[in-house]
Amino acid sequence: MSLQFRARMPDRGFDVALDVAEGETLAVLGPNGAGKSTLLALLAGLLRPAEGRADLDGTVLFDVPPASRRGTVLPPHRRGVSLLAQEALLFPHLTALENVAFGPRSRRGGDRSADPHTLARTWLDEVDASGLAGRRPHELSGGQAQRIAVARALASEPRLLLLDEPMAALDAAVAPALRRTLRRVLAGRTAIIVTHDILDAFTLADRVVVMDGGRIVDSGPTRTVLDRPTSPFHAGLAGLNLLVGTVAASTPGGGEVDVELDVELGVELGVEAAGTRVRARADAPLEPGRPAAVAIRPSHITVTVTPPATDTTTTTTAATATATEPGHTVLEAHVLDLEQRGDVVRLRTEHLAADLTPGEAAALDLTEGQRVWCRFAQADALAYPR
Amino acid sequence: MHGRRAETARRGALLVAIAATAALLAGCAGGASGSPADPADAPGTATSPGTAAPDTSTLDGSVTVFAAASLKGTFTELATRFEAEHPGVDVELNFAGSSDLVTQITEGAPADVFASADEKNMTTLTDAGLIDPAAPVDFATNVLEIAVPPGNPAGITSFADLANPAAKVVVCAPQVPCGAATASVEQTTGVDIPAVSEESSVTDVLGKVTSGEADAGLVYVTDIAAAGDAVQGIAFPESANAVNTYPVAVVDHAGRLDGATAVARAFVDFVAGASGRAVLSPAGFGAP
Amino acid sequence: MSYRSLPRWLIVVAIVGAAFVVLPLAGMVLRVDWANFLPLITSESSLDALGLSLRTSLAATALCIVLGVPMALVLARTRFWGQKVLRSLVLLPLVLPPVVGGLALLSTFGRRGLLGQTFDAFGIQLAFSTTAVVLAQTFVALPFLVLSLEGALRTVGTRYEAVGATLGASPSTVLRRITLPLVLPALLSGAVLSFARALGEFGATLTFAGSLQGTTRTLPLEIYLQRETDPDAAVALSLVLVVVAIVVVAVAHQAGEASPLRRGRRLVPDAQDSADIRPVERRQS
Repeated sequence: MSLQFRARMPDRGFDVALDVAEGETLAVLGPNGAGKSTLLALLAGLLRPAEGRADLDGTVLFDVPPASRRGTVLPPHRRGVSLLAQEALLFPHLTALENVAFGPRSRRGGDRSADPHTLARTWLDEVDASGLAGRRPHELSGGQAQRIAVARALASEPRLLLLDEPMAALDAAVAPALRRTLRRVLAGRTAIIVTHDILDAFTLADRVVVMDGGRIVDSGPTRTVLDRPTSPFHAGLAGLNLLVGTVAASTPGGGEVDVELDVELGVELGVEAAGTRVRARADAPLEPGRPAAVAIRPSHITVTVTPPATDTTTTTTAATATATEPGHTVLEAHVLDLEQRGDVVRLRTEHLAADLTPGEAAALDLTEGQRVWCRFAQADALAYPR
Repeated sequence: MHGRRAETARRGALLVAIAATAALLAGCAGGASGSPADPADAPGTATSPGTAAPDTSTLDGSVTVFAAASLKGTFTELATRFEAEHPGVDVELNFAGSSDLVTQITEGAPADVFASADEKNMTTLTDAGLIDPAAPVDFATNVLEIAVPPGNPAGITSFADLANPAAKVVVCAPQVPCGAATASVEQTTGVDIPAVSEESSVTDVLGKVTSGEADAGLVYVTDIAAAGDAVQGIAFPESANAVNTYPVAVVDHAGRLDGATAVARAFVDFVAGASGRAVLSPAGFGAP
Repeated sequence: MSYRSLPRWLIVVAIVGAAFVVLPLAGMVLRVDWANFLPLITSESSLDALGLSLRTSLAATALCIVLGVPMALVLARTRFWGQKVLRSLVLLPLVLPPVVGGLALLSTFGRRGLLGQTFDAFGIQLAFSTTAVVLAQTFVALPFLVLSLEGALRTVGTRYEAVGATLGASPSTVLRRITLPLVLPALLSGAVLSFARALGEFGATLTFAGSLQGTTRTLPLEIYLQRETDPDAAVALSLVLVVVAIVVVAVAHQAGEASPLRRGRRLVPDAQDSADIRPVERRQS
């Protein structure tokens, strides 16, 4: 084990124990106030735990016995733990190159054989930013600055890299490029990434822990925890629509199933929707009669204010899922609210959430309580056992 | 004090108005050669102070006296006594450094009487035509004395002791009257004082001595008398080489009532006479 | 193009206010005896006073930096009991009449003062020395430096410092390579203001240090003394002081403008960044 961490902060209701293996990237998910930032601050040495112990590659980061004013707390600069925050926080008085060279220059008694500037250039190359070496932070865009910040964090050769929502402050258009860079540089590196964005966890992390109320409520390999959520809570974290029910029918090969939606699990689901059937794809055979869940991404849902044109005689009545065209399901719903989320507008209904472009949202001219029809392709709906 | 000043100004304006009317009347009736408002004519009637003064008991009006700061105690007392003698008279006092007063008067401040701490500043006003050169009367003298902190820690006993470099001696700068007097005593005695500081006022010299920063300071005997127990005075015979004389004179004004000039003259006489002596002597001032 | 909504009467009052400050200066300039201006300000005593003023003010400014930077850092970066009271006390010389400051210094560093007797035992005598002038100037100028620096430190915040620490920099390295460079403009403008305040110091010097040409008689004291005999020289020297003050204020203003944080607004839109930074590279090379 590379990192072993356990700490309590009773005044914040924080009580977490976690391990990170050598070379492993761990994603920490959870709502605001879940204690994710406290976790990072404790690891970086910016906060002193009330009690706990952390060990990184044999170095004790802190060791504070219960109800003791004493104990060892290593100052941040001796920990070998780098923190990459939402904002790049490049030192405004230094050029990009000098920013990256800051770590190597400041390291005490470390490897002095390499020239800090040479090292810095290597790391700028690594994040595809060699062309920005001479620029001052105010001459950089948000994405460029964050790229330099990544290089700066890596150049200090941390044993543990902490990333605090590194993509959160970036335009949606810029995030993918940085995400690709991070994916490359995080490979084989011990790191913890705190994020709201499920995509970060999917792309960057080997393992996921879910925090809520200062505690870890779930953990496991990324795919298991996020791709196939089994509770509305996890689905919410993963940003997925979750429909739960029972397998009603299955194609012989197991590639396609019909799931009859459940009444009891009506948290996400209007009661009217109970008893309706949703056709979804399954990548493993599902036996009829077994409990199952269906996950659909909000971006895969199309919304109309009139019933979709039907090419069959089937009428779409309330609480009826109908295959209006081959391979599609339509659910009638009512608008709960609309929320701007970055470049998309999140429409919430009593059972499904849909992501619209601002143009689409404006064209639909939706009001609260309005009747809408949500449509998704069965290829975009994934069924799995729960 | 502010209110009082304003009141004086208002009264002044009224007097000017009355004076103007009087002048007009005089011009009509007498057809005198010169206008009474002409300042050049005024000194002619004031050559010998006191001669033209009417019976003192009939004095009425106000007089504004500009006096050197070192006269504050004595002139306040003298003003009270003067007012007691002449119930109809109101004496306004303004104290400052003599050179400041000269600046104020040349800038047009309404002074009726100027009492200077030295002859030089008085000369400045007579040169400027604001005081008749014959008018100033010497009414007091002042000499230097050595001020030491109580107990005299440096053991100063004579003027020659001030030349001891081990003693911290503070004097007035040559630009101010007490400094000029100091320089003059140094010159005549051949004693060179290695002063650690040349202050711009007597107060600053006394401050350094009372606080114990300095072992000795050279100030006027009257300053030491006024300072009370805070300092000890040591008289020295060489001080006779620089006797400072205080002159007082009526300031000339355009368009002033004869009555006001009469009050001013009466005050000058009062200061320069026996009444003045009775107040000035106990404060350390010598007779001219 | 920006909307200005100032009522006309307010502008009129502002002009009256500006005239109130500017007219006395203009009045003084009109009084200057230009024919003798150069001889007046280049007399031996004037040059001595100007030289002494510049030397002592520079020394006081240096002392302000040495003492004020740690004070500002402690006030801005730590929390302790009585901190608010301490801050108020430290800023007191700003509002204290200078003579009171002089008396306070006298009762501390004077021969019979709190520390003066100890100094005396070691053979150090401050009274009537140039050092006393520097002390008096430092006393009144220090708050300017502490005030402007503490404000800047609070504005900058601790985020950059935390980043520096996680990159492996020790507290001293963080101070030297991050904190101080970030607040350098504020430090400069604070130092310039301190210098100006030291240059104008009069009351405390007069009360505490005395007045001797070349040793303790600074320019303000020289002006005060010249007034007694040579008002023209006093006015001429005053003008010199005014010019120095104007230069100092202008420099301080420039320094304040040059803050790296104020320049920190982004000039580059994010669109340029998205995946393609090639054109930028070309421009760089």
